[in-house]
Amino acid sequence: MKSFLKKKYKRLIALIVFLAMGCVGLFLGYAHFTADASGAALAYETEGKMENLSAVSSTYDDSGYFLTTSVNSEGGERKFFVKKIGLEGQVEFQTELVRATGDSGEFTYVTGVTEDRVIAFTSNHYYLYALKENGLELLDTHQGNWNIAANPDSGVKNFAFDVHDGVIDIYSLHNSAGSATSIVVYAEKTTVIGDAFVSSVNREIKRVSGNKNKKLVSMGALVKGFAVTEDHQNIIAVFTTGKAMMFDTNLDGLAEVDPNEYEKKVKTITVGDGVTVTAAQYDGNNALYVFLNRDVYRITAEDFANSENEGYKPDYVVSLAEPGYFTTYNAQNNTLFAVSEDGNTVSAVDVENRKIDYTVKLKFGIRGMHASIGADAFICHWIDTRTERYEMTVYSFSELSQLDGATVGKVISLVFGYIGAALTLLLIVMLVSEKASEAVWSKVKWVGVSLWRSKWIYLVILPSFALLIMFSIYPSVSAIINSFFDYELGKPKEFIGWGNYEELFVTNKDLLLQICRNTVLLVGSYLFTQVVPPVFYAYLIMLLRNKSSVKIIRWFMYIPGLIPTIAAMLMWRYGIYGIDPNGAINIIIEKIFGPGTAIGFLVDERYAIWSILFIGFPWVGGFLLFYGALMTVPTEVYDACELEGCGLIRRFFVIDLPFIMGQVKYVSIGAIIAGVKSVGRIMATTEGLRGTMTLMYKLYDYLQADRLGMASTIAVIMVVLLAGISLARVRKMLKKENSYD
Amino acid sequence: MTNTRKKHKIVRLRRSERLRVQIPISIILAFAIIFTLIPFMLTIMNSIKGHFEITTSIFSFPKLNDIRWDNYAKAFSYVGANIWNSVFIAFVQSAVLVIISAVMAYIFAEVKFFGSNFLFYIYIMVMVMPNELNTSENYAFVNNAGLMNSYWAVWLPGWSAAQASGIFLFRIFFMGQPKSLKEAARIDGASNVQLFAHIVLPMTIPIVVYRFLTGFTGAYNSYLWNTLVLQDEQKMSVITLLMLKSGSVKDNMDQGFGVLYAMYVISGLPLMVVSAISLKFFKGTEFASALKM
Repeated sequence: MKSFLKKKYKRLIALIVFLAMGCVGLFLGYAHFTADASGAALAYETEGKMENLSAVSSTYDDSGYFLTTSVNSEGGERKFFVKKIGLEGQVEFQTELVRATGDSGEFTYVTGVTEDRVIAFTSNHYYLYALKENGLELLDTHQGNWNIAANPDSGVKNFAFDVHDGVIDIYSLHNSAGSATSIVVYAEKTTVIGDAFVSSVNREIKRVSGNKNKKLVSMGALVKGFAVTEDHQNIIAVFTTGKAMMFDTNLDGLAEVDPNEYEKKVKTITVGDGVTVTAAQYDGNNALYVFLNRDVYRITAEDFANSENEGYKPDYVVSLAEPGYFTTYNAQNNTLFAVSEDGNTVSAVDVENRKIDYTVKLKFGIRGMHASIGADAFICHWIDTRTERYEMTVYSFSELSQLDGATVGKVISLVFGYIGAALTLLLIVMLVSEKASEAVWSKVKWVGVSLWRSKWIYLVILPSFALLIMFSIYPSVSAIINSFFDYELGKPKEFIGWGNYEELFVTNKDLLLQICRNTVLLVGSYLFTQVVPPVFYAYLIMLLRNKSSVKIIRWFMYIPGLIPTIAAMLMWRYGIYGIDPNGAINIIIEKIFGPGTAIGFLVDERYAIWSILFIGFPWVGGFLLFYGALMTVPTEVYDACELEGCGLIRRFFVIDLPFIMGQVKYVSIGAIIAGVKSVGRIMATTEGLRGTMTLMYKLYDYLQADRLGMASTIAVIMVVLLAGISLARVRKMLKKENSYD
Repeated sequence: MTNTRKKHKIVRLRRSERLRVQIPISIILAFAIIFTLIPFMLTIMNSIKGHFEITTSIFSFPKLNDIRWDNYAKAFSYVGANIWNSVFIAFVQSAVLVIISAVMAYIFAEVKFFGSNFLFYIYIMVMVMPNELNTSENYAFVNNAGLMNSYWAVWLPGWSAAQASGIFLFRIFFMGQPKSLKEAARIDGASNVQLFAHIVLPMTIPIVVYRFLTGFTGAYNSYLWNTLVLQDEQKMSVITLLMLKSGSVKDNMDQGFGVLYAMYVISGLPLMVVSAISLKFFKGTEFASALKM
């Protein structure tokens, strides 16, 4: 190696190589910091309770906007709105959907079928709107037994539109209460006259009668998805049983057939035998993608022609990480999006090349995910199970692919990047002067040899160190950095400088003041209750002459440790501080002062924080430590003191206290740290309400809301507060260690 | 003083041992004990009372003809499985932690290798930073790595955060052990591993057990992180469940507070076992004074 590097040009080559490695590595490793910030999260809060939100759908219209339906239940009445939302999250308009007189149903589904036509359904009316710049304009409405029973939450697409030759064919499937499904074919002739559609309902709505009482054809199994073929002549339907069938749109000849015999009359293929179909998606162009749990298959009309052949196998596309329950398809770049059942995982499948482009996790703890796709964006909405709020987010595709957090690849890139950078520097030094290069080389050799000699030791240390770096060092550094970012799970990171701090110190000033006050109170309280009473009790116990009672006392003092701390807090909350039903203190109060005089210790803002401080009375706590220390005081000192005539109290301050000063300092430091960090107590008693918020609790709050940027900000503040104390503590520990050497 | 033994000892009490001092001391201590134990006595007594009885007379001893043992049965059905969860989590966490701490402390104490001081100072640095700083990023990591709702989400950050102090403690102990013994072993040709397994470790068994029990108790009582990452009811730790249930059970007049208190009591069972073990193991006050820090 040394000889190799003697030649200057070889060094140059090495320099270039390392430089490249350094640059590429660092760039790749840090690349995700430059996230594409075009994408907006919109949090819509509906008035009223979440369970009333049912008719929600969204669709993308080619002009670059999403149409979404939302339900507001204000004052008990449900109103339906259609909003047009752009990619930046801006709301173009919001139109209320009004039902025609005589329409007793509720809107169930709204969708845009062409560039400027929107259709809405209630259970017995059909509405046709024109999509204008600032709203929807109602063009036509018809009554009829439309029976569009749509439940967007279940992800079942119950109908399809086929627009051709100025005709909108509406196909709907009904999943009735039983397991039978029927297909109804509606044909509606529309005539285009300039800007307005004049629709004339063809009174011959084709319905095929099964038997005299049934007007619909029943399929015998639940339909999961269906599509219309290119030639507008056939319908492909996929059932939950894993079978797919192709029908003529006229449903010719099916009326007289027993549903169980369809398979003989109708072309059928089996996609998955006995495996449940979880979702299906039509790509708008003759193919139906079927999800059998994790596996994705494609069915086209041609497949049905081959179904008679024994050798037919469904066309397998790809396997996902999680079973797909909801899908949507982007025709512009042939991407199939699959969303998992909990709505947390979204996979983008490149169906042409049969591979998964990327998989991202959106948000944990959501339900009712619903999404639709546009040319280059993806809008989804869900209900956050924790806040019960309805949220809508628009992602551009480039954003989605970058939501992937730090990957292993990036870490490795970083490592190589830094090594490359270091080696580059080294080589530059070596290139500059011979003498320097000698010194550098010998040093490098020495380091390298020593490292190599201890290689096995490094292997043994590796697990512990890896853990340390992954969960203690990197997060700390990252938290400091994150506090300057707007970082929330499910959104790309955005640099906002002091924004988080502003939010804390300016917008939430009152809360911060409350936190400050509580922190001071808690630290003071902990300092007192963990030092003064325990020392006092330890002293008293030491003075007891009867040694057997000392043993009894020590036994009793174990009892508080037998119940988990939080359980003890809960006991205080309900059993002692309880109001209505009354806890111990209130029972006594009411017995003395009469009913109705109970005090809301933890409920009343004036008392809450003080009640919390009082918990743990009489604060016997960690007396054992002090007791052990007091025991080591030699008794001769006591006798000497007494001879000089000092009383008990003076003796305590002059002799005992100095002896246990070490322990007192140790406990004090711990008390201050615990005071700043305190959260368990607050959580168990008041959940941060009524004036009892603390730093740590706010951090927890932010984490629950997935607002990691703000959480990091609080953590940084805590570090600043605790820095001095923690350093003092560690210095003490080091001093103690040195005293052993 | 010369060794004089008189037949009749003249008892001269110290000032502190006179009765007029002892009596107030005893009274104060008695009060302290009573007040400390009140919450617990309340819990135990009320855990076998019916709900109505609790709301009307919280202090009274349970009526002997109306002891509701089924409070415990109900409580067990609610939290039983979760107690096992907590025990399992705490056990694994503490056990692995002790192993890591002991091994690493030994390496830093006995084995001389390149960079040992440097690496050790890194551990010390980590001790300075409060581990709350790590919470947000660890949460994001757990979320992205799909470890949400799995025990590893509790263990991994737990091991990482607690190993520093454990290593410190063990290292002090190892360094305090008689050097001559180890030198003799080395002369006889013991390798590092053998030294550790046969000489160093057996001498520190009490500390190991102490550390394990303390770690177990700490992990069992830990609330904040467990609640964040274990949200599935079947997997959550018992403390989280207690918090959840406390809100709902009390509204249910049929079950009421009795079951709630019973839940508190039985959730302390593992801790009682740990206390019993530690009492047997560590007789006397040696440990209190030995851990003067």
